Amino acid sequence: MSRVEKPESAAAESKSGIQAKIPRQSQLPPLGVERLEPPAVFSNPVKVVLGIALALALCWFLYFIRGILAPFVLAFIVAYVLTPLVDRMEGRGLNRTLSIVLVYLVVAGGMVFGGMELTQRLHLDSGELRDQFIPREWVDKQVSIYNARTSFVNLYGEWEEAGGRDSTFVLVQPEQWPLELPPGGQKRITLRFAPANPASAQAGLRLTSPTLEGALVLRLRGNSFAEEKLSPLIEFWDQGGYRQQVGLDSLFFSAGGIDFGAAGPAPAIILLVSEEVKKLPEWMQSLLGAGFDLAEWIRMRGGGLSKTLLGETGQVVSGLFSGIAFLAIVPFGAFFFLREGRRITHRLVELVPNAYFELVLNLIYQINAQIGGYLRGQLLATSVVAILSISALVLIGVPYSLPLGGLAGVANMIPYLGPLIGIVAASLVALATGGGLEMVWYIIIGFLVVQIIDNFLVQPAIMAKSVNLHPLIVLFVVLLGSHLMGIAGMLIAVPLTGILNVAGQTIFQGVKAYRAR
Amino acid sequence: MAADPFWGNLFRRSAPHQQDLQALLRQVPVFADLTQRELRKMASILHRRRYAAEESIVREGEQGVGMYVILSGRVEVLQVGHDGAMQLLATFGPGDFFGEQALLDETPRTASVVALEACQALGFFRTDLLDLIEGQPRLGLKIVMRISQMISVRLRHTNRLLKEAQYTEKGDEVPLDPDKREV
Repeated sequence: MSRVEKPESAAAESKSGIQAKIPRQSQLPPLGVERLEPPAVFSNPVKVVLGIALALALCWFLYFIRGILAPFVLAFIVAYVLTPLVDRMEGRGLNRTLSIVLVYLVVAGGMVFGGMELTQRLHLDSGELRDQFIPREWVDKQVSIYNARTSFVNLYGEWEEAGGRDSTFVLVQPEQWPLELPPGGQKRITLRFAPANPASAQAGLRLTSPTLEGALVLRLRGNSFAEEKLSPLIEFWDQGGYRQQVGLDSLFFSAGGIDFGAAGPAPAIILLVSEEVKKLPEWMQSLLGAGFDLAEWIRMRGGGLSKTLLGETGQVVSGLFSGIAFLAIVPFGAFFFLREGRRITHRLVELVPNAYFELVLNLIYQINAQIGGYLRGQLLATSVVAILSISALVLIGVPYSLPLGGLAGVANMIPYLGPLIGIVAASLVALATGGGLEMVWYIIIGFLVVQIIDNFLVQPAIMAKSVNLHPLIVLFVVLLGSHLMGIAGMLIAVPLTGILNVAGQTIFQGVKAYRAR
Repeated sequence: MAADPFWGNLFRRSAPHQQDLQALLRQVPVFADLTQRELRKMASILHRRRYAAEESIVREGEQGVGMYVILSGRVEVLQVGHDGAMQLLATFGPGDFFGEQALLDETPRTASVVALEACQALGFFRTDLLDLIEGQPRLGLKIVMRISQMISVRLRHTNRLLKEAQYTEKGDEVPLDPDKREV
């Protein structure tokens, strides 16, 4: 768990002058060769078969317990990211345990104070988003009116501007005007918001009475993201006339303005995408399932994107651990990884036979350098892309810029596909909230700019981030990851493959070096 | 390192095993002038290895990762000579170290070291040294300084022998200096 210089491949080492003078192996005397050769593992077929069987069994076992593994892997990653910090503090003369506690306090404090507002906002946004995406054909809301006057009041209603029977807002009750209100009587007006498209709409219902002067306008709106509350009573003029809960000698209204929230047919693009996915063969659907059918997710799970992300991991874990246990294990595990990391590796290395000791040590350091660089690079890239994406979305005016930008940042960890996920999610939201195709174009352009900045300014600065994997391999492992572990699997897939790649290469080179001699 | 990993870690007091190691370290010239605290740190960094007789500790041509300090037993340093035969360069005993070049840069081993009898050695590796220099520069510098001094002593010795060899005027057949063990 230590940071290492950039690894140098064993093959790239330069031969020193002395080395060059040494005769080739063919000239080596048999005695010396025999004496110095490491035990031949690969020449024994029984051992090879046994080794492969053992490796397969281990893979199966890991697959089997992948649910329990998740919190430990996460703890390991957390510890990995924090290790350099703790190391540095320890170097300053602090006790290691104390350093970890301090780091924990700082992180926890940061989460609580800095992140609370953010998470709250995320949560809120996700909740609204859910409302947004659950296709509801209509929403009914009621206003009750109470006549506190001593005389009969006959109310007549008429739609202001755009409104009426075939329009977005429909009067359900009363079926016909006037609405008769005896003294002390209470009646209801039921209004329905049933839009034909997801665009935002507003209207006013003007209520008048022949016995009263002037009018009261009930303001209605739906599919709107306006922050400000509808003022309870928009127009009133008569001191004894239309009032909301004020005065004795008046009409009381339970509400003067109504926000219907979201309703409407499911956005066409969502239906289209999920229809298309349904047409795919079943096995492919299952592959795409967790990862690709973004539309289905949003529809099914109410668009709590951040929630879904955690939810997927949770599903895997929930078999054995509840969410709370998960939350407890991660910091606990991370604490021990941080504190004992060096000793754990030390002890593991102690078990390695002498013949492979240096090879294994080399391997550990190289892998260490790769993962460390990768994770730290990813962290930086994720934050940069998230911040840029959020700014872009805010500029364009897409609602829920925070969760969407965050998603884009996290998804960016998945090469090739990540940026697409960000664009698709933002576009879906834009379309669903009535942004129109124009906004989608802006989003595509905005995200392309983010990608360009990421690829030409950020990535070159984070050299270790690239794992040098072929696009096809990346595609394959990401799909495989989503198949096995959902979203979490998709995110883990590439770094894991990177690790295996480095490990494989180093082992291969090491073994080759052994055989060449 | 305590026997029980869990409770041992929770209530860590220097186990007797570890104190042994620190006492041993104190006898090794490279670590001779370290404080108790620094010795404890070194003990946690070093790898303790055991070798059977005839077992090779490092192999010529392989990429080296660091140096070894012999705690007990004797080892011999061998190199493939001009004629392809193994040549004995030196024999080391407790307190001696070898492989310090690999500690300073990543070079292939220039000789092999084979245990003559059951041996114990401490491995001290490049990456750990780099970490140490970054994390605890004072300690790292102390050790690097110490190693440099020893290398410089060896170099001086080698230079002297080389000069003597030139005077003896024997051309090809100058035996390789036992102290020119660039392992």
